[in-house]
Amino acid sequence: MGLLTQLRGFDGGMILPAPRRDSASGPIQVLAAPPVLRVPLTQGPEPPVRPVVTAGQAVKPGDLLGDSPDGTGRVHSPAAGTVVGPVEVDTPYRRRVPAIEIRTAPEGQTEPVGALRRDRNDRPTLGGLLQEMMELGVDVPDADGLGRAQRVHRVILNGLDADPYQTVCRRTLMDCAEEVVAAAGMLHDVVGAERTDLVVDGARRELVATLSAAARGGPVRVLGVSDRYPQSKPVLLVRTLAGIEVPADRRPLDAGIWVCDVCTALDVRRAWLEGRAATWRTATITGDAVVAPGNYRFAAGCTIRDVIDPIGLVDTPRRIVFGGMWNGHAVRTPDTVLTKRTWCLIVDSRNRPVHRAAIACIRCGDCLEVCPVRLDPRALLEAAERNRPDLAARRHPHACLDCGLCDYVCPSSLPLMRSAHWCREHVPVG
Amino acid sequence: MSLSAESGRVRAAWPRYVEVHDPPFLQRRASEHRTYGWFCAAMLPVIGAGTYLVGYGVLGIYAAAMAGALVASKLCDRFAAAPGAKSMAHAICVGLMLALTLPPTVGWVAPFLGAFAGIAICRSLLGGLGNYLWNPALVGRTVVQLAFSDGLMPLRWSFLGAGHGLTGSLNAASAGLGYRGFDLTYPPPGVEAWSLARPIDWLVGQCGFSVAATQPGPSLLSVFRDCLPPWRDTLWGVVGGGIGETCFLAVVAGGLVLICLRCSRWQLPVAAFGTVALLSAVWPIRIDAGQPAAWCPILAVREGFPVGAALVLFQLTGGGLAAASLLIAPDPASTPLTGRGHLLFGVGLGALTFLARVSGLSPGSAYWAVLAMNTLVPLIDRVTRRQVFGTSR
Repeated sequence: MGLLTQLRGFDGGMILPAPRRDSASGPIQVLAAPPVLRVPLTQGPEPPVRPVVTAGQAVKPGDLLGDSPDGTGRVHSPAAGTVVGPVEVDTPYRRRVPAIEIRTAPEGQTEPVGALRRDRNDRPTLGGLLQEMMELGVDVPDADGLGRAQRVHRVILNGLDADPYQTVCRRTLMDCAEEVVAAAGMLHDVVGAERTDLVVDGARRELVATLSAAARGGPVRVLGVSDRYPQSKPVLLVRTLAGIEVPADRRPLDAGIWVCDVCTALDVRRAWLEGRAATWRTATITGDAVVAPGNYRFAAGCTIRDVIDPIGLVDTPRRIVFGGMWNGHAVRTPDTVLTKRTWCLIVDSRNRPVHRAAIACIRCGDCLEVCPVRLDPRALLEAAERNRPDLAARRHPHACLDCGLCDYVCPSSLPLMRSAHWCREHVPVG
Repeated sequence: MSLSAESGRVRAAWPRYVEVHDPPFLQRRASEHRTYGWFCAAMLPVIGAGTYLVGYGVLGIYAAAMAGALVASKLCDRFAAAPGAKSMAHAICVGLMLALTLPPTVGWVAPFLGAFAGIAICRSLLGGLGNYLWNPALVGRTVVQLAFSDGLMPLRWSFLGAGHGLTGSLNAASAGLGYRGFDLTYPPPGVEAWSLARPIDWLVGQCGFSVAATQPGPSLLSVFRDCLPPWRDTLWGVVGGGIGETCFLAVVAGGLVLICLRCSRWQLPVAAFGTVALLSAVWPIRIDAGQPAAWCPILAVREGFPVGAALVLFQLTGGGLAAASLLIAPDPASTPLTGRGHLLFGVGLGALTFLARVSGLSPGSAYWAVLAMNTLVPLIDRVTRRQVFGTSR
């Protein structure tokens, strides 16, 4: 049994109800790439990169599809096939994103798992690793800050899932415990940290035990913490583990702490050892309308329909949520293309009447009680309703983590989350 | 294991578009109706206890108060309240809160007008639910107290005698006996009810709550032995008082329901009870006849009877403090926002209640204290504001 710490950590937050159907009951399954992939040239809200392939060109897995002058945001081909040409697609983050359409070859529809090209104990330099990750299209969190000559004394490997619907981190830890610990050890050595913690939900005792056994004798320490939502947010992990409250205009890295999630750590290790470009993604796919909720690995460039159809639909989907039930966002059409930055997809057959008509605040104070950053959501709502950014500025809206708990608990169904968003948009940071 | 589209598991068709709305996509099952509905449900034990102790006639008082609140809500909210700030559940709750403080002989006009005034003045005119500062039930009670001073604050409050619960008549009441030797004895033939002062009024009236007091008066022991009922009667509520405030056990049951359902916070009643207990334990009082007042009466034991402890217990259970701090004050709209705020509110409520009792303002001192603390709520909210995560201010 590893070191189990049940720390109170941050203020507020709450243990969320578990979904009716557990999506972590089976191992991660791999979905074959569909006959046509439309690989978007940007993964998130950033501007797209320039395409470097032409129509009719044959591509192998890992071939470069798009590049930018500074080398960031590179896009690679997830499968073998032929380039059909440039198209425009919607991603969950942006509408009308340029993409490359690829007709996949029948034999190239699975994820390319390469042979090891390096020794397992090889340790790159930090600069070398970051350069190679950029070339292979792996999004390393805070890569620019890590690259600068900043002393990182502590690495926190985040093994907590964002909310109870998402189980991809937990399932990854269950399926690849040894590999994750090895990845954590590699990052520990590369960054030159004094301490590396692998943080998991302390209530999963078996998982903590498995990981502790895998980590025995190594530099990585496994910590079980209370998974009170939204503990998985990096600033709250830093608060719980190090007792530091990072201001909204700073990053944990400024305090010498680097927070990285386990899925990215795994991608980094695989990319380094095998030279595998980040083109496939594991995400939780769940919801009422899905036959078998679980964690699935699919190629970036699949549409939601491509991903769900092999899993099967029980009922007509009425709602598609990208991200999480508490702070994700709704997607309009099943033809939306998924990028590498996908964590969780919830397809429900009921579009529950979530926001009843808002009534007056009855001053119950529940929103203040659950807020993990001690904001007064009522004050932000008032500022937004009166269109007064100056009132909002006094209440530090940028501390908001967008967790959605205030909205979730509000008995009056007030649009607290939306008003906090308005305040963040209208108040300059800092 | 690998899955592909050919495995034929598709059983339903995709719509072209699905509806989109803002996160979060789940909401906790909570609503203002639910909150105030539970407040109403928490009144059921006291309504039940009152019906047994004072007769089924009290149901008319509750009904009149509810009717007044609903009529006011229908009439006045239309003109005054902000959209979305009208609530039937809240109006019913206000009516019940008002009624439980009233004497059983009050008739039906006073509860109706009181509830009407509470909703009309305090809720509708101030902009509706959530915008008022003072508890509407207690504002209504104040209005009634000004209008019907005799009917609302009688010196003697009626309740049914043993063996006449539920169906006895308050008209056949006896005032002669006093609480002396009371102890649930059956009343004489022809008498179905007692008409006696509230124990807390008697206690406060008889005791010299003054540091300088050397005025003549009975000793604390004789007050307890000759003037007051046994303490356990205040738990069951077989004493004079408002139709819903006398039965301490019923009030606590209702309050616990609210706290367990997270409709109210434990800090407020705990702080209020703690403050009253502490103050009455140390505040100087004349313990022996003809002697000056002594500090820390809790330690006093006379002739083997712990008079100090009895004094503290009567302060806690003998008046309206329990009903005020467990059922009436926790109305979320007129209390502070945070738990720390509730703690401060409770301390203030307890201290003001005790001071009002000491200074002889006894009838309904806890209710006055609630109104006074309601006024301080904006200040309490400001004082208890927390520093935002990662900021220095």
